[in-house]
Amino acid sequence: MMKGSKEGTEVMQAKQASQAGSIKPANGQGRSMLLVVFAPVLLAVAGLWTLAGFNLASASLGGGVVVLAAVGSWWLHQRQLEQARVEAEAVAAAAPDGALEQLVGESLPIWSRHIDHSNRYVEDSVSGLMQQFSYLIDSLNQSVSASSETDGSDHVIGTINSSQVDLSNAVSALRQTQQSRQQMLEELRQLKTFTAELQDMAAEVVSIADHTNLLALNAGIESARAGEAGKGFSVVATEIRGLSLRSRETATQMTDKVLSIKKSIESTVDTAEVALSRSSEQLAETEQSIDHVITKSREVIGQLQQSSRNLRDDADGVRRVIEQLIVELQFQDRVSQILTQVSSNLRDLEKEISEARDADGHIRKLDFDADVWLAKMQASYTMLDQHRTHRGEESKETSKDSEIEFF
Amino acid sequence: MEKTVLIVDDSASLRQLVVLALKGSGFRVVEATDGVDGLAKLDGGRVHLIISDVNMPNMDGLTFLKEVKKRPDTRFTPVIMLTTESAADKKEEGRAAGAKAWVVKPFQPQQMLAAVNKLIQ
Repeated sequence: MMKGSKEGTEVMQAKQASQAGSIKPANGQGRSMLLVVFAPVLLAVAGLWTLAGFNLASASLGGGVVVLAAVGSWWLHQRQLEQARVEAEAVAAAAPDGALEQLVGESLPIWSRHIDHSNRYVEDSVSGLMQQFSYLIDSLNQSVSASSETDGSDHVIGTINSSQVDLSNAVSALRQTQQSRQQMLEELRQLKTFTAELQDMAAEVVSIADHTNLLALNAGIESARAGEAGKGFSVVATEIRGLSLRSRETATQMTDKVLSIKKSIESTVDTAEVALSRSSEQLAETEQSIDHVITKSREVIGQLQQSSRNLRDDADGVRRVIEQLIVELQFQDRVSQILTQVSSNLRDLEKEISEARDADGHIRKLDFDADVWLAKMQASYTMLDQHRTHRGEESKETSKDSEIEFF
Repeated sequence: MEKTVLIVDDSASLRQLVVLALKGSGFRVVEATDGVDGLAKLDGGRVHLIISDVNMPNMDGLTFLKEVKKRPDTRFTPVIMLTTESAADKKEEGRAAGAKAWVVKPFQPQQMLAAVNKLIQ
């Protein structure tokens, strides 16, 4: 732009210099005219001086002066005429009739180059922008796609659901085990009651043995009182007494054993009750922890899903804006077409002017039909905008929708 | 199978826009800068659809279209003319030369994609 301006200034300065040159011959011609006027005046003065009646010598001197003055003025006049002719030729060379055509003829290719340069500059810039935007859209698409994949919320939720089922099954198994332990504890408690019964039964056996012993003792006394006849019965009574003692001893041992079993059972029941109680608490805590973890996981997944949705929505929004920007950048193509057309018209005009250049390289005044030229220019337009601009009308906003016609 | 689309336009940014509109939908897009370049990239009829500008240097779009329709291997390849040209006579010339659609710039990428999908089937 600066360079173009400089070039334009140089062209203008060249033209101004040329125009300044055109003033010089006018001054030269003025000086010639002064000399032409001055010579007769000089002659008239000399003639009057002679006629005033001075002496011969003076008259002869005066005649000589007059002749010299006349010759001198003629010589000066001829010299000035020659100078004027040379200067006029120089002026004719510097400022021909087609001065404007020359200026335009030299300016046109410069204008064309400026337009072409600007056109290429815009094209390159828009192309670069388009590449950057394309890259952005690709990156956004990849990010959204990666976000959808890594988010994997469906897969994660499936895993969580599956884990929840597995954990519930594990908890159920633990609860069944707990129930089994409870049943076992109940059976132990039942055993405890059996030992009490066994103790009672053993005490009854001791009591029966004591009664039997007493009966045997009485039977022994009665058999002794019966004498010889009661001897056999005395033996039986002695044996019964021995059996009753053994029964009592066995019953006493039984009572000891039952007591020992009872203590063991009571101890086992106590231990089992504590263990059962502790495992019930642990089971409840485990269930609570599992519920907490699952709930938290679902919340986190929900937040993650929401973040992913927000990210995708934002990315979609940015992508739509960029796509619209890219569509808007199509203005460059329209601008390029218009500038190319203008450049082409300038070149045509330059060609027309260069054809008007004579053998000496001077450009004569152009003689062509401007209406025909403008009509030709108008016929080359491809867009309605160009026709409107040509007519000096306001350009209308271009429709954003594609105009598609299928054949 | 991946379909190939040839875009012929002297504007690099317009070609990029067409590439952007189509590549996301699985099309392979080949670029040419004018009619002469376009003819060189027809690839023996392995191009499934052509999108061509009208006003281009070296060889304009309508001449290119006529050349495409002359060649036996590309005679039936659908051609979309993509141009700023909205004059009825040019459009008629394109239709008579065998173009399948006339799209006036600026165009919406989605609409171009829809037109390509419609014609490529």
